[in-house]
Amino acid sequence: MHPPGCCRPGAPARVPKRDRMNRPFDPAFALAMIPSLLPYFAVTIGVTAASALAGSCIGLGVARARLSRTKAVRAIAAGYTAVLRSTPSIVLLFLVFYGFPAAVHALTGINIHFWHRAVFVIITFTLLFSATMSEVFRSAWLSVDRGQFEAAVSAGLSPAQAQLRIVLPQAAVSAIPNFGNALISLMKEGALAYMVGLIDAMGQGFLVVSRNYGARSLETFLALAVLYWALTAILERVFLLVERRLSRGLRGVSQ
Amino acid sequence: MNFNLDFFVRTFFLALAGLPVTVGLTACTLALAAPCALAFALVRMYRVRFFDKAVALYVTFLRGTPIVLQILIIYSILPSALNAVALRSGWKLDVFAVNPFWYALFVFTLNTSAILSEVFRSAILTVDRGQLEAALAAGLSHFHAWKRIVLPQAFLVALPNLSNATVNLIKSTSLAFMMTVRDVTAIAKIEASYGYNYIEAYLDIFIVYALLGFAVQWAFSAFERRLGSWRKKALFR
Amino acid sequence: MKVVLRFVISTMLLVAAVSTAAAGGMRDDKPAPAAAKASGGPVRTVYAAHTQGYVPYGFVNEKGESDGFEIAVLRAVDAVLDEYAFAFVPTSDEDLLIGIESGKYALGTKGAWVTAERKKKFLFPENPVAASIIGITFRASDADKIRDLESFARYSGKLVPISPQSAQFALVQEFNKSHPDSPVALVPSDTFIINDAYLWVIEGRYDAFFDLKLAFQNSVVSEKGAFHSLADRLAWVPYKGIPTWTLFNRNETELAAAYDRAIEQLRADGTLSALSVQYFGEDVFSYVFE
Repeated sequence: MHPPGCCRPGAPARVPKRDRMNRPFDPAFALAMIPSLLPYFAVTIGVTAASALAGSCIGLGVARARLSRTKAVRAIAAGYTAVLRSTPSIVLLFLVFYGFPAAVHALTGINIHFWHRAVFVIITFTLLFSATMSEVFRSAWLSVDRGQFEAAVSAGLSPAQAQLRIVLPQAAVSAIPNFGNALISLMKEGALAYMVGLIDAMGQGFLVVSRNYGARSLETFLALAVLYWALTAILERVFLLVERRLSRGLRGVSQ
Repeated sequence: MNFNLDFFVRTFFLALAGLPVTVGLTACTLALAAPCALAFALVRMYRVRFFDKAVALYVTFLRGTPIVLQILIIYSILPSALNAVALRSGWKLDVFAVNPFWYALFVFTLNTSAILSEVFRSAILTVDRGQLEAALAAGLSHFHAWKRIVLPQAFLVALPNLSNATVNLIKSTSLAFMMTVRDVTAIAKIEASYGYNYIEAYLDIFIVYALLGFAVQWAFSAFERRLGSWRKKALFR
Repeated sequence: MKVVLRFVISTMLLVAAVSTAAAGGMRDDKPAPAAAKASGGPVRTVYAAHTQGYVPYGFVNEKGESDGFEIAVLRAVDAVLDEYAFAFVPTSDEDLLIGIESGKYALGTKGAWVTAERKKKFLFPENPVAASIIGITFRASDADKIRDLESFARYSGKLVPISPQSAQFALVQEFNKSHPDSPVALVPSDTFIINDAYLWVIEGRYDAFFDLKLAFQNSVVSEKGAFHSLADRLAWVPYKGIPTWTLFNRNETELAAAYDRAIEQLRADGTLSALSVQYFGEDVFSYVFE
C-alpha cells in the first residue's frame, strides 16, 4: 500500500481499484459464538412457549366469539383482532410496559413497575399471538364443510360431540401449518425484548457486537442465524409429523 | 410528563409523507413474492425431484431466522458483493448510489415468499383431491384444473392468512429504516430525536399503522365476503 | 389425535417451565441497590436507567453487570450521597427516555447532549457527567484532502449514516447550519449499532465515519483490534469534545441538586479524572473545558 498522501497530484479522487472489501472475517469467532449464545435461547424459548400457550387459549375464545350468533359479540371480537393485529409490536410493548403498571397502580395501588421484564414481554406477545390465533382458528373451522357437522348431528351425536370429534380434527389439518407459522413468527419477535432490557438470544448478539465496538457483527449474526435455523427446523419437523398423523386418510390435493 | 401536542400533530402529518414508501414497499413485495410462493408451494406438492428439497431448505431458513438478522446480514454483504462483481466485470454501476429501497424490496421479497409459500401450501391441502380428479376426468388439462377449480377454492381459504401476512408485512417494513429507507416509522423517529419526543412519536406511529392495518383488514374481509358469498353464514351451532 | 394433543400440550408446558426457571436464573433482573449506607437515616432507592451497548460509556459487560464510565461516576456519586441508593437498570435508548419522562426511572445516562427542546422534557443538572471525543475516520489515501470536518465536507461529505438519537447527528446538523454552502451529507439510519462502518469507508461506500477516539484505538490501532488489518488504510482526526449529561425526571429537583453537589466534590478530589483515565485512557474533560 502506498503511504498516505503520495497519490499523483491532480489525480481524481476515487477509490483505488485494489481497495475492494477486505473483510476481516474470523470463522473461529463465529463458531465460538454458537455455544456462548445457546444458553440465551432459554429465554427466547421460555417467553415464546408461555406466550403461545396463553395466546392460543385466548385466541380460541376470540375465534369462538367471532363466530357467535350475537352481533355485538362478533363486533367486539372483530374489533379486538383488528386493533391488535394492526399495532406495531414495539408500540404495544411500550403500552404494556408503562400502561399496565399504571392501570394496576390506579386500581389497586400496588407498584408492579419493577417486576421481571419477562412478564411484560410475555403479556405483549400473548396479546399479539391471540389476535393471530383467532384468525387461524376461525379460518380452520370455516374450512370444514358444514355438511360434516350436519351429518354427525343427524347420526345421533350431540352438537358438542359433533364439533369436538368430527369438525375439530378436520379443522386441525388446516390449523396446524398456520399455527406452526405463527409460532415461528412469535419466536423471531425476540429482538423486541431487547427494547425493554430483557436479554434473549438476539439481545445477547447485539451486546456482543457492541462490546467489540461494532466489529465481529457478521460472525455473530451468522452464528445467531444458524442457531435460529436449527431451532426452527426442529419445530417444523415436529409440526410436519403432527400434520401427517392428523391428515391420515384425508385425500388432499398433494399427489 | 409534558405532552407536546404541537409536536404530536405536526409529526403525524410529516409521517404521512412516508406512507407511499411503506405502502409501495408492501405492495411491490407482495406482487413479487406471491407468484414465487405459489410456484414453491406447487413444487413441494408435486414433489419435484431435486427442487422440493431445495425449496424446503430455502423456506426453513427464511422463515426460521428473524427478519432483523436477514436485514443485517444482507445489507452488510450484498452491496459490497455487488460492488466487487461490478468492479471485476467492468459493469458501470455505482452500487452505492442505488436507492436502498431496492435492497429493502429484495430482503422483504425473499422473506415474504417463504412465508406465503406455507400459506398457499396449507390452503391447497384443504381442497379435496376429488376436485382435482374430477376436473382431470372431465378433460381439463392440469394447468386449467388448477387454475379454474383448485386454486380459486384454495384462495378463499387462504384469504384470512393472507390478510395476516399482509398486515405483518406492513409492520415489518418499519425495519427498512435500518437500511436508511425513509418510511413512516423513520420519519417519526427522526423528528423525535431533536427534542426526545418519543412518546408523541410512538403514538403517531401507532395511529398511522392502526389506520393502515384497519384499511387492509377491511379490504380483505370485504373481498372474502364477496368471494365466499355462496357460503352459508357459518356460525357456531 | 387425543394422544398427539396431550403430547404437544405437555411438551409445551414442560418447555415453558424449564426455560422460565432457566431464564429466571439467567440474570438477576431485580436491580440490587448499592451497599448499605453508613448513616442510619432513611434511604431512598432510586432507579437509574442506562444504555445496554454504548461502550465504554454505559453497557452490560460479559458478567452481565452494569459497567461503563457513566455508571462508574454514578456509583461514585452514590457512595457520596447517603440519602439515596442507586439501582441500575440497563435498557434501550427509547425506553430510557420514555421512562425518565414518565417517572419510572428517576435518572438515566445515554451520552445525551443538551438542546433547548430536550430541556423542556427533562431536567438537566448543572454539571456534565462525561465528554465524547468525536472524530472522523477516513481512508488514509485521502489524508491530504481531509484534515477536519470542513475539508471533509468540501471533499465529498459522504458520511456513514448516523442514528438520529445520537449526539453526533445533532452535531452534524449544527455544522451544516453554519456551513450551508458545503454541507455534510447526513443520512439518518436506525441501526442498533454501527457495524461495518470501517469496511464501508474502505470500499468506498462512504468516505468517512464519525468515530469515537477510543473505538478507533481499540478496533484499528491496537494489535488485538478486530480491524487491525486495516490499520494502514485508515486514519482518524479529532473534531470535538462534547459534554454529555445525565437526564433527570422533571420532578427530581432535590435529587439533581444532590447530584450536582456530589459531582463537584468528585471533580475536586480528582475521582472523575481518575475514572476517565481508567475507561478512556485519558482525561476526556480536558477536551471540553479548553
